[in-house]
Amino acid sequence: MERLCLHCQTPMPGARANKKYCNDTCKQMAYFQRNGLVLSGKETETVKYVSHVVRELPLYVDSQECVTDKTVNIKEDTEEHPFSETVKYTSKITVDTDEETAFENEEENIGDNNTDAEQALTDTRVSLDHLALNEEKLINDDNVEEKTTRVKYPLSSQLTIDSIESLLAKHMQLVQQKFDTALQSVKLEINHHSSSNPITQKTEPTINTVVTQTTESVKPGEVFTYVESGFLRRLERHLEQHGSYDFGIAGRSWPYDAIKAVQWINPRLRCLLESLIRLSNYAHIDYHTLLCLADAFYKLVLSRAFNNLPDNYPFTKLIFELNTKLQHLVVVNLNATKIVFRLPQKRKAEVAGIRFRLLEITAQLKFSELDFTEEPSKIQLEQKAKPEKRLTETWQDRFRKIQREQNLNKAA
Amino acid sequence: MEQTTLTKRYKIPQDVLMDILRILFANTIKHKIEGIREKENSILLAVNFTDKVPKHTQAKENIENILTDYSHYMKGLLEDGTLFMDEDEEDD
Repeated sequence: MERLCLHCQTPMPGARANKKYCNDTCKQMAYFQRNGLVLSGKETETVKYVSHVVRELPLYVDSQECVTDKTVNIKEDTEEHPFSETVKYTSKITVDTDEETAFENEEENIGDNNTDAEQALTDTRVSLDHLALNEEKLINDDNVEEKTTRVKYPLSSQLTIDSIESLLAKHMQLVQQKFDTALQSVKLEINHHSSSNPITQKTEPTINTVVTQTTESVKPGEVFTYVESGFLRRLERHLEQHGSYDFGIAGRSWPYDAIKAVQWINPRLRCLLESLIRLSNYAHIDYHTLLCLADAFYKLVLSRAFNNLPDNYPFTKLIFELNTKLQHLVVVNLNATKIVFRLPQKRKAEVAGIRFRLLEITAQLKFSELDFTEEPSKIQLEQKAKPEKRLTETWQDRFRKIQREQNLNKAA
Repeated sequence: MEQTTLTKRYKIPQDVLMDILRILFANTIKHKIEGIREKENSILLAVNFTDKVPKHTQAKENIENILTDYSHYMKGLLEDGTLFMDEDEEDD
C-alpha cells in the first residue's frame, strides 16, 4: 500500500514501512506545527484565530475615560460565545451595563437641574444601593481578600455632590479592576482553548471578520506526478508474495536427500535465470546459444536431483514452464541464424524476482563452470559404499554378540 | 536571473525506458539520446535539469529512484553496474 506523508499528505512510493515524512522539510514543519511555532511570512490557522479573537474580544473598557468622565464605555458582543468562561464574564458585565445606565441617568439629573438635587440624590442612593448589591454579587464570586476593597456607601442623608463624585470615582476604579481581571482571564482562556483544541477554533461562530488567507495557487500543470516503474512494481509484488519463503526454515522439515537436491539445483537455476535475463537484453542471439540454454534446462528437469526435490520447493513449476517454452523455441527456430529472444515483462519480473531471492542463498557460478548432468561415478560410489558399511556393522554386531555370550558363560 | 542547468547522463535499460520517458515528457524536460548500447539493450540519455524548477528536482529524484531500484534488483546482471554517468553544470 502506498504510504502518505504525515505532513503534506503526498504519496511516498517506494518508501520503507516506517517512513513518516517525505523529506526533511516536512519533518521539520511537522515539528513546528506540533510545537505551535510559525515561520516568518507564513500564517497558520491557529495563529490567525488567536490574533483575530484577541482583536474581537467581546469586552472593551476605556479605562481613562471612565475615571475622569465617570462613565464606563462598555462594548459588549451580544453574539453567543462557545466558551463557558466567556459566557460567565459576559453575564457579569451585563450587570455592569445596568450600572452604566444608572450613572448616565444620574449625571443627567445632576447636570440639568440643581434644584432637583434631592430627587437626584434619592435616585442616586437607589442606584448606589443597587450598585452595592451588584458589587457584592461580583465580589462574592471572588476570594475573601477582595471583599476588603469594597466601597462603603454612605446613607442618602450624608451624601453631597462631591461625595457622590468621589464615590463614583472609587466605584469605577473597582469596576475597572474587575474588568481588567475579567479581560485577562478571558484572554488566557481563549489562548488556552486555541492552543489545546484546534478543531473548535475552526467552528468558532463569533468570527465575523474576513481573514485574508494567503493560499498558494497551484496550477494543474505544476503538480508533479510520481511515475512508478511497471517492471519494478511487478518485481516487488512478486517478492512481497513469495519473499517470505525461507529456505533455512523450510530445510528443517526436508529429508537429507531433498536438501542435497535443493543444493544441487539452486546454483544451476540461478545461473540459468541470469542467462535468460542477459539473453533477453540482447538484440538477437544465435541458434547455438538457444540450444545450449534449452539443453541445460532439459538436463536439469531430467536430473535425479530435480525428481528428489521436496514438494514445497517454490521454483519447480517455473523450471517446468521455462523448459517447455525453450524446447518449443528450439523446434520453431531450427534453421534460424539470428533469433530475437525476448521475455515478456511479467515473466521477466518473475524471473528477476526469483533470481534476486536466490542471490542470498547461492553462490554465483558461470555457465561454463557448471555441469548439468549429475556425476554417475559419485552416485555409484555412494550406492556401493552403503552395503559395505552395512556389512561392517553386521560383523561388529556379531562380534559384540559373541563377546557378550562368552562373558555370560564365564559368569555362569 | 541566472538559471543553473544541470546536465546528467543516465544509462537507461530497456525495462524502465518507457517509465523514464514518461517522466521526461510529462514535465517537459529537455533530453537527448546520446547513444545506444545494443549489447545491453540500453540507451545513453543526457537530461537537462533546471535548478529553479521544483518539478525538475522531483523528476530527477524520480528517475534516480527508479534507476537505483533497478540496479539493486539487477545487481550482478548489468555489464558495469553503473546507470548514473558523469554530470555537467552550466550557467545560462
